[in-house]
Parts: sequence; C-alpha cells; structure tokens
Amino acid sequence: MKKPIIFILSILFVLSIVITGILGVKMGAGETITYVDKIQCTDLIVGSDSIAAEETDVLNTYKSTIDYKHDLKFALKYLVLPDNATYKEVKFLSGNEKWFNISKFGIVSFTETFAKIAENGSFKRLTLNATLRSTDGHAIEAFYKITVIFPPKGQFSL
Amino acid sequence: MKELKALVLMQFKDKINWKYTNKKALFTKVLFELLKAIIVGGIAYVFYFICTLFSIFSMYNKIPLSVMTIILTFILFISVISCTSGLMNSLYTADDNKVLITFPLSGNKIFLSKIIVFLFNELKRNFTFSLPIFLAYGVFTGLSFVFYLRAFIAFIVLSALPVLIGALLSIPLFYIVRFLNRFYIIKYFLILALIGFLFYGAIVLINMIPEEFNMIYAWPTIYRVIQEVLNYFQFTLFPLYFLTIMIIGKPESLSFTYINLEGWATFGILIGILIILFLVIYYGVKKYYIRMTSLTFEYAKKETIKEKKNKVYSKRATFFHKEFIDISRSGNYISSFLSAYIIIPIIILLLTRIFSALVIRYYGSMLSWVFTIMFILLSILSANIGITSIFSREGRAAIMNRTLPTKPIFPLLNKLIIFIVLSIVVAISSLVIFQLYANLDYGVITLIGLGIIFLIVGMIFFGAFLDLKNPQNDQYATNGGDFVNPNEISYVVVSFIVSLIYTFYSYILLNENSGNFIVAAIKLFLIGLLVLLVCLSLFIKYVKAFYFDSTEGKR
Repeated sequence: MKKPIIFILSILFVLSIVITGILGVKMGAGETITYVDKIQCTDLIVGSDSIAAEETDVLNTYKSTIDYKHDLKFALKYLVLPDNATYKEVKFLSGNEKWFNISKFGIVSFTETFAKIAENGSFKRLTLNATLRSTDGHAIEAFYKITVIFPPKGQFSL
Repeated sequence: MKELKALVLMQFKDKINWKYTNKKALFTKVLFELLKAIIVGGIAYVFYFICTLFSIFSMYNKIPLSVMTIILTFILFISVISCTSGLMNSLYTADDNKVLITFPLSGNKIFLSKIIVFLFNELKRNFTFSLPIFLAYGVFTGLSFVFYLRAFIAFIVLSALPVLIGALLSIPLFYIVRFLNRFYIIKYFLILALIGFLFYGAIVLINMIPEEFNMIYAWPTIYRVIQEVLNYFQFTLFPLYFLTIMIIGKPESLSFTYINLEGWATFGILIGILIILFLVIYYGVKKYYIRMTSLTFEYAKKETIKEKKNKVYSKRATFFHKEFIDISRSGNYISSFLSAYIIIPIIILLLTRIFSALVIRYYGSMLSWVFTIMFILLSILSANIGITSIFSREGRAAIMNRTLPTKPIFPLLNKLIIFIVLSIVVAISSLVIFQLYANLDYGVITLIGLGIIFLIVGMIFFGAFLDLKNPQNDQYATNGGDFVNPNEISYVVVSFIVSLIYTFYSYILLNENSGNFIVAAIKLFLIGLLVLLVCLSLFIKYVKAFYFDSTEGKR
C-alpha cells in the first residue's frame, strides 16, 4: 500500500474508535432502553443432566446441590427478566477464584486447590457463592449458592 | 555537469511522467497534484479539529507539538522503507540501467543522477503529502506566514534524509535480496516466520484489550497514557522533536518562536548528517556501482535451466497457467499485495475486538458496524491498487494479448482472477469476523456481504478499465514500477469516494430502518450489484474497443 493510504487509514482507524467510544453512548432516535429487572437462576447443567435451582428466602438468592466428581464441570443457567431487556448479557463472578472459575459462558470449573480439598476427605460438603450481574449499567445481581457434596475418601469416580 | 543535467532530465521526464512540452497536460497534472495536496491537508485538518473537539491530546483546545513529532516519525519511517526498496530497484535492478551504462559516462554520474531523480521524486511526494499535513496544522493553529516559509525550506532539506538513508540501506538490501532469490527455502522460511510473528503480535495486541471498556469513564486513564506517549516523543526521542521544531517553530506560551537554538542547531546538524551520509554512500559505491548493476543482467545469471517436456493445456487452462507462472515469478509485487491481504482480516479483528470492548448503546453499535463496513471496503480496495497496472506491467509484451488465438477477453480476465479470488476470500473472512461481533440476522449479513463483495469486484473491473483506457506499458518497460502511475491515483481517489459514499449511505439506511435491517441490506446489496454491472460493462466496452476487430469478433 502507498504511504498516504496507510496514513489516511491509520487516522480513520483511530477516529472511528474515538467517535464510536464517545458518541456511541448517546441514545439513538426513538431508542428506548429496557433495563434488566431481575436475573433468575434456573438450573445447573451437568452433562445431559439438569439440577433445578431453588429460590431461597433471601432476596435474589438461589441454591442447588451437586455431587462432586473428579474434573467436574457444569453450566449455570439463568433467565433475564423482562424478556425484552435491551442488554441481556450477564457477567459471572466467582466467590472464591482460588477454588473455582466461571467462564463468560457460565461454565464452572474447579481449580487444583479445590480438587485437593475435595479429595483429601477433610470436608463432607462445601458451599460456593457465584454472582450473576447485569451489564446494562444498573448492576442487577442474582446470587447462586452451590453446595458441593464430596463422596467419602477413596470413592472418587474418575 | 552538462552530462549529469541531461541524464537527470531524461530520467526525470520518464519517472515523473510530466509531458512538459504540452502546456495543457502540464497544467492538468499540476492541478491534479494540487488537488491531492488539498485533500490530504483537508483530512489532516479534520483530524486536528476532531482531536481538539474531544480534547484528546490537550485540555487547552490545541494540538501539542509532540503530536506533530509522532506524525513526522511515522512519515519518516514509511519514507525510509519506501526509499530503501525504491532505490534498490532504481539503482541496481531497473531496466533503464541496461541502456544508461552503455552511455559514454562514468558510473558515478549514473549513480548521482539516479539519486537526484529519486530526491526530486521524494520532494514531490513530500510537497503533495507531508507538507500539506504540516500546513494544515499551521492553518488550524493560526501560525504566521514565517511558518509556511520555514516549513517549505525545512521539507526541501528533510526530503534528502530518507533518500540518503534509503540509498545506504539499499546496498546491503540488494545483496540480501540476491541471496534470498538464490535460496528459495530460506526466503519462504523467512516469509512464514514473518507471517507467524505478525499473527503472534496481533494476538498479543488483541489480548491486551480489556473485556469491558467505557471510554468516557476510563478517559482519565487514557488521557494519562496519551500524555505519557507524548512526553516520550518529546523527551526520549528528542532529535525527532527538534526536527519538528525545525519545521514548525518552538512553542512558547501561546505562540511559536522562530529564532531559537533548537531549531537552527537541528538544521545545521541535519545538513552535516546529510553531507556525511552522501560522502559515505558516494565513495562506498563509486567503484562498484557498474558491477553491482550488471549483476542483475541476464548474461550474469548462472542458473541452469532444466528442460521440461511441453505440456498441452486447453486454451483457457493455458492462460491460467501462464498467469500463475507470471505471478509466482514476480516476487516483490505479489508479496506486497499478499501481505496486505493477510493484514486486513487481522486489522478487522482488532477493530471489532476494540468495538466489542467499548461500553456503548445501540447507536454506538450501529456506528461500529458502519465503521467496520468502511474499513473492510477501504482496506481491500486499497490493497487492490495493483489492478491499475495489471496489463501495463507486461510492458511491451502486452501487445501479444492481441495476437492470441482466442477472444481477448479470456486472457485479460485471467489476469484479474487472482485479485478477484483473493479479494473475495479476504472479504468473506472479514465479514465472518464482523458477523461474530455484530451478530446480525443471517439474511441481513449475507445481503450486506454480497453487496460489499460485488462492490469490491466491480472496483477490480474499474481498475482494469483504467489501465486499458490509459495504458502505461512504456513506463513499465523502461522504469519498472518506479514512477508515478496516474491510474493508481485515479483508482485510489474513486475507491475512497465510493467507499465513503457506501458507508455513509449504509449509516443512513441502518439508522432509518433500525430494527428492520433487511430493507437496508437489500438496498446495499442492490448498490453493490449496480456498481459491479456498471464497472463490468465499462471494462467489456474497452476490451471490445481496444482488442476486438471485425475478424476477431467472429472467432
């Protein structure tokens, strides 16, 4: 490519980001934003199985119980209300990143530290706290308490 | 001295392509160059205006001098690269060397004449590109007339810097290229390593982009980083900052002073560096110039030619095979436009990744879609600039196309196939990246994508039409690629205008039909199709006009 073309494209590259970043936060003509009212946790998906979530007495808090297996991974399922919310994306936050991580698609995976705790037999169960937060700027949250039950030492299925 | 003047004028006429005997042609040419300078200056002015409007570089509604240092660094960097490769071709491998060395002149004079011609060429490029950017700064900042005079003189001197650095670097580059041309495996390994490095760099850069990024909330941090970069250019790269002072003047409170130690001392040091560089190159190459030049001549080649059995292909396959061989032999030409095609999807990925990180509303998303469409179009159309010399590059051999025992449209179309295929592949990969970001309805993205592809293919036919209409075969036969091709300028100007109109129209359509993009997508598809049909008909019309006669038409 010629020198002036590279120069002009570079200027346009920078300007397009600046213009979008600054003007892009403005509302469009006739646009109304429907903000998220509530995030409702529905179930945990482990392979082809589903474990339903129960709503607790504490506001926006849900719970489920799951049996621990080696290399266990499961998905957090949820509903964003109302259905016509403009921004339906949800951000997942792990309560303890040393123990477990949640991907941006809601897949929970355990760390090696947690696997050691789980498999050394010192605990029978542990409760993990996950938070689901809306990304529309209002930060509506749902809290998911997942109780993991460990089998007796030596009975881990691999 | 007379001999040198004659040599310079002879090459100058060929390279700059100024028909100075024809006053009307000269006037048109000057007007066109002036228009180019005004367009570049206008874009630079808009850039300064927007940066000031959003207080990007300074809270005091101005463009700091260090911003101009960054621009100057960028210009010098690209100039050194283009001068190095251009001078390597012009000094050692250009076809006119075969004629020039037969003149009763010393090699020094040929060498000097080539450097002088290149310097004039660089000067012309600077007056139509670099100087307008700085003049726009002067107009925007409201500088006095002293600045314009100073900038003009400064650029005359500054133009010699990349030329002389390029001349120095072209010596080792010449031997490196010769070595790589002999050992293809190393050459291809290096190309692959470069592509790998490019991908790695792009991935590192993309991973550096935060997942969520609100430009307004994060503005204090961004502004601090911008100031750190500006300070780096002002204090760490101070020679370049002083060069900027030499061109513009020294900022003192709210105005600029023109009599200062930094500016004039830099001017003196620059002159000194230029003299030293010139002496090193002149005395370094003096004895060996003719020998180096003749290394590229046909008789100096020691390659053994392996005999191959003649294989009979069908008519169409023959032309395709011939094009494939032509392309695989034109290393520099093909690698430059292939590298552009590889970079485009990476740039689009980087752009969409930045857009997806920005915290924006619906209007922002729409702006980001439109800007992505604009970048796909502008970058692919710019990468296809080689289409404007596709027939002329054959030089005087192009006449053979008229003698081929088939309709001329087939060999001519075969020349375009590589551009069409590569452009479609790059457009599709860029559109896939765009779709992953925008998540539009499949029908909508297919129609918009087809519209973009039709427009790109249409512009390929338009570039080929320009080459047919205003052929530059003589220029390529004499100078290789080392001259200003007017078709390239026309193609770039039209491509930018078409891309910007298409982008602006897609903005209007998407904005008007928010929520129902299918109507907008159909209209954009139809525009692309229309451009394709118009350009294709122009191309066919000119092929018929230049290649068909009544007997060929019946074949």
